[in-house]
Amino acid sequence: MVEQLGRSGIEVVDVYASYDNHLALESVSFSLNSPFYSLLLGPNGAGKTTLIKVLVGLLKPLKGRVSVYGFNPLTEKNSLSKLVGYLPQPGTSRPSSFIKIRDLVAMGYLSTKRPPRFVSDEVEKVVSDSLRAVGLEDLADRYLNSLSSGELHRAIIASTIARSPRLLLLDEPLASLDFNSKCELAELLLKLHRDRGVDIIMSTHEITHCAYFNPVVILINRKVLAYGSMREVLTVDNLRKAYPSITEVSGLTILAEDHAVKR
Amino acid sequence: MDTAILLGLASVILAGSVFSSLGYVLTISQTLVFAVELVHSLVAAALFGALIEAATGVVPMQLVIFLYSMSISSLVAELVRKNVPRDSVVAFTASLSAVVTIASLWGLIYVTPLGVSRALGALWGSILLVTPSDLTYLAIVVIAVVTVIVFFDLEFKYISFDPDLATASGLNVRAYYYLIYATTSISLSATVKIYGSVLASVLVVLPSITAQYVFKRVELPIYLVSGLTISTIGYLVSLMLNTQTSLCVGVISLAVVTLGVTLRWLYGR
Repeated sequence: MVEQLGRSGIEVVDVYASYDNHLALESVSFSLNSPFYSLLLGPNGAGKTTLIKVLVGLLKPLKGRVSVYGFNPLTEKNSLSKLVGYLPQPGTSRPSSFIKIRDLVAMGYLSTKRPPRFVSDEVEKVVSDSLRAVGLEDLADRYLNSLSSGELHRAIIASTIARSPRLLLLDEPLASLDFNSKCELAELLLKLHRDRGVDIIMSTHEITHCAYFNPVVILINRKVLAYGSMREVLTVDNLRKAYPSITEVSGLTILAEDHAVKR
Repeated sequence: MDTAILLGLASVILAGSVFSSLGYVLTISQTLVFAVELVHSLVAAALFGALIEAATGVVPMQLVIFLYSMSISSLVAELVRKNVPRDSVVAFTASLSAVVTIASLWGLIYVTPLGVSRALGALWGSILLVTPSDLTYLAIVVIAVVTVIVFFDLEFKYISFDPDLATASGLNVRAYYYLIYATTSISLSATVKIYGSVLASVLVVLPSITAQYVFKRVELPIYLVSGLTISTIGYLVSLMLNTQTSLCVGVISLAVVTLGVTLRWLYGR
């Protein structure tokens, strides 16, 4: 299965990776065949961010093999970066009073080009189209530090759309958003997936907003515990492995926010 | 007008342009604090440069300052990259520079001729020591820094927003940070002779604070206007009072920043 995917999908084979001196991934293997809309689900500390960083080439695995559309994320970073759009975990960016949404989106596009990188009419058009796609066309001249969390997420997504990516890797995009913003963002991602054929991998703690898109779910807690359709993966037995404090009361399953078990 | 006065005026105008442009680069790349952390290193670099210049007679102090600053910047960057705590790194480099400072001072005072005046020149600078070739070097540095800004303005803003995002987008973030360190080092090496090492680091920060607090905007022309105004007024005041230029520029800078912060506090929210 893994060997057959080649350039049409993602292969992760027996990957081990550490983050902040902790072993965050142990023998992680899975494969996704394009087109896919996939959710990485697991508790805090389960290795979701580590896995995304490995896929995008920001972190070198200790062991194992990773292929994204046939490219090695570490050694073929330049080729892969033209195909991938990455949304960092909320709170890790430094939105400032001197970078406008327009600049961010322009750089999303221009970073696929060689320097010198100047904003031409062509770039302006790409910026306008990308901002329109995420509903931020009226805020193009706003500075990033004046945006709400939802607007900032959409601005970064616009900067990735500008690159016409084949794959969006999103690290906790729904975190720190209010309910409506979560729904809007989930809808936007589905629209990109359906209308533009963008493959999506999104780490999340919650699946409510994406449930009716019937995503592929990768349940992870350092190891991949299960992956497949929601119906196949989200069983009480699987969830019990991922979330140690899961409880059942009078036939109800209560899944509390949890942390990965330290070893 | 006296040639020496004109030479001095040209020096402070060029130095003001360097500080303003560098301040802009450091602001948009969010590395201002990093530059201030290097103040110990700049003092050490200037004294070490003066020692080498005096001892060899051929190696200009600007070259030594550039190499020393670049080495320390690179050392800090690489240690932080290897997850050494930033506080420890700064403590280490400050200690290293303190040792170099003391050793260089000892060498200047006891080994080289005119050591004390050379040491004082490295610490607080002197318009009188500036030569036409220093001015040429300053002009080249101004052009170099402005060129860097014109070509890499968007990139600096982008990497400062999120280095991981920039890396994932295909930019060589490390190379851009080294470009910033090189720009900082070359700018400081060009201005130490005029303003001295003690004040030079601070002058990098002041136009930035002025621009942000008084004008509430981060744009290169505003930086240039504030930097040139501060430098020129400081120089003219020093001529009137017949005192040290760097002292007057420092006092004027501090006054402008204090005024800006006060006005912002009173009216600007």
